Amino acid sequence: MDMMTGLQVSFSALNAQRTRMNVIASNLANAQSTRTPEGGPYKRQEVIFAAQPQRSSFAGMLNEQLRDGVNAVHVLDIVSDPNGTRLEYEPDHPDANEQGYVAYPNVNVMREMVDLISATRAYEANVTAINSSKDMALRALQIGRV
Amino acid sequence: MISDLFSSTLDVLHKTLDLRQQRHTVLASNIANAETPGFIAKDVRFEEALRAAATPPQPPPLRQTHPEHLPLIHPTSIRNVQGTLVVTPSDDIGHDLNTVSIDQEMAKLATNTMHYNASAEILSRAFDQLKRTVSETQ
Repeated sequence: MDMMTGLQVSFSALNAQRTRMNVIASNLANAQSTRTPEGGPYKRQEVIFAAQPQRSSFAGMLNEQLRDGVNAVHVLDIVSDPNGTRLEYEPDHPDANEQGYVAYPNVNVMREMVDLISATRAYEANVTAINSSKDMALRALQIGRV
Repeated sequence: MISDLFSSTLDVLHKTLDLRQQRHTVLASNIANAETPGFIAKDVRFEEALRAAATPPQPPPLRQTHPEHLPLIHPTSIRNVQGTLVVTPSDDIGHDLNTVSIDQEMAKLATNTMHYNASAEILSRAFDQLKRTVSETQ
């Protein structure tokens, strides 16, 4: 059903935004982590979104042209940002190097908060789209009911 | 005439619901991809095509008087109207080359849903009217 495609597209976005929020939460939680299993300080993680054309389920429903217009979104990858490790002079810290500097993660808390708000808003926008889809489907079911 | 009973109003409403539904899917896809790098916002345009098909056709001034004459061109039937996919013009393309303006898309989505609901309501009433017409004599 056509309506389900719209819902699926919105659901895929909810999924993607939720993943993004998890990654942001992980960045915030590890803003001060100086040790990781891989060694060295924690590295900021970032999600990469990619559009995913909805073709297969759709061929018969939409005409040729319209098929290109419908794309779900999925998380292509989660990459870590290797740049910008922060060095702070703390000679007493167990992880300090010979010069007394500690390498802290490259997490900028303000930037993560902004990202978090942006992810929340995107999530809300998709919830609104889902509610619209639902309204329309219910409305269609009421046609002919007296 | 029974064919007059199921007039073109029903056809137009039916097609409107169909096309608004398609537009909704495309708009939902824009909103879903509001943060996808390189995504280009799209829209479905169908109003002009539907209006052209729904306007009562002028009586054709020509008649086929010979079987080998070229056939008369009939106006597009309402049932065959299709939406065209267009790229939404955008004036602020960010660094990630994404052209989705979330406010614009939300506004479009809300408008589209309202139009859809209105058409569904009118269709319901049209059926209601038909029902009353056929049951009035009993």
